[in-house]
Amino acid sequence: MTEPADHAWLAERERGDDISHVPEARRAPYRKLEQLIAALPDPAAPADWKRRVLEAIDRPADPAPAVAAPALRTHRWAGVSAVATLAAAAVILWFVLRPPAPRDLPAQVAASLAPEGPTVTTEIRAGGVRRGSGAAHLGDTLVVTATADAPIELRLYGDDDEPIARCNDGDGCAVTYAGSRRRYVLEQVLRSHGTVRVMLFTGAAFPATFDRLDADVATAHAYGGDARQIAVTQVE
Amino acid sequence: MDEPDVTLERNAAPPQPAAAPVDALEILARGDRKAAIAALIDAHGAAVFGFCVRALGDRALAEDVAQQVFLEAHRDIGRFERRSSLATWLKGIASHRCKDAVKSRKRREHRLRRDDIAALHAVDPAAVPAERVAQAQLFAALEDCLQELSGDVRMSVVLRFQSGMTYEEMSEVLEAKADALHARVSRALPVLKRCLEAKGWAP
Repeated sequence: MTEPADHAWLAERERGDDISHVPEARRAPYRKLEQLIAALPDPAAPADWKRRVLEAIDRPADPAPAVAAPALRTHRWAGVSAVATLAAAAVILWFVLRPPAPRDLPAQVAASLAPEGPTVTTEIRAGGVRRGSGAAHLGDTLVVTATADAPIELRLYGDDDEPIARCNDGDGCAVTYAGSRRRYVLEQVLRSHGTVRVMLFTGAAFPATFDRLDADVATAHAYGGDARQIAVTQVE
Repeated sequence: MDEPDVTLERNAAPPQPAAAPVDALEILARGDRKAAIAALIDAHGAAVFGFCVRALGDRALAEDVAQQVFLEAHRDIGRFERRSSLATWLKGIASHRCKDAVKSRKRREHRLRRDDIAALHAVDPAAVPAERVAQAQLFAALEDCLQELSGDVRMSVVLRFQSGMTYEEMSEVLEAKADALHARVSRALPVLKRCLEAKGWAP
């Protein structure tokens, strides 16, 4: 019996099916393997790790650890607490004072909202046909194209500020390079009604968190980065 | 490598708590959220940290991610609905944060280095019986083989057999259908077996 056959009866077993037809000699090595995995010890965390976690709890304004930039370890962030607090306040102000969310932004308008440096355009495609950046419908594809001289990250957030997609040099989209110029193309099929916010993150490090728009923006600002809303697409 | 003729035991980590020594939710009900998290760390910190080390293959990064897990737990434990165990809830948070961390490394997920593996299962040959040295080597070989799997598959295998989760719990933690997880695990086991055998394991 070959290993693919092992896979088949193992799948049966994992589904809870009867595998009494499989010889015991065939089953035994896997039983030992599973016992071995079960016995794997959990590596011990450093002695002061618990203390560091509890200290971090006492610094509620601290941003999430930047796993994208491991050199910035949480326990070295004692000095950023005040900065993070100010950043959080700035984000709240930004959300209160920001202009009404534009709907169906023309691509050129969207580009003009981008910060200096990167340029970003959005468009809707339906069945492979460009429909500019007009109203979107379920099943359409939102295409966000950006060019920049330094790494950026594009993110999409939904109605409740929940994450939908992200795109950077290593993940989530196609990136092409021409000298120092980078071109990012993020394509997202629109699968639910409501709004989709297109956000541009710039700076030396992007927040590792991808949880909530406001929290991610606060984290970006805490690291001296920037996060801007480029466009809002309404999915009808 | 012959399998040591001993009962497998966890020999490189502090004793595992049989259960939460203090009920974190009871402490929370008394209004002390930070103490509740401290109790959670006592009960589940090693398991969460271990899960992150295996998922990420990087102890330093795992420290940060596991810390973030408990910071989120501190933020959200008030909304914990008891639909699952606290351990499953924490593993769910850990799974998400580890996936984020892997993505953020821009596909630079590197394998657990040999010296890290050795550190995970370090034993002093002069101080312990030969069987335990062999067992530590076997664990190290298995850790090495686990790192050969992709991140999602590795997390599935660890949750299934090391954490002892049901597929229902795994579905919640990994946000994948049970059928997909059955297939993932059943395909991984022959790969692990072959990898271990190539390293000398004789089941």
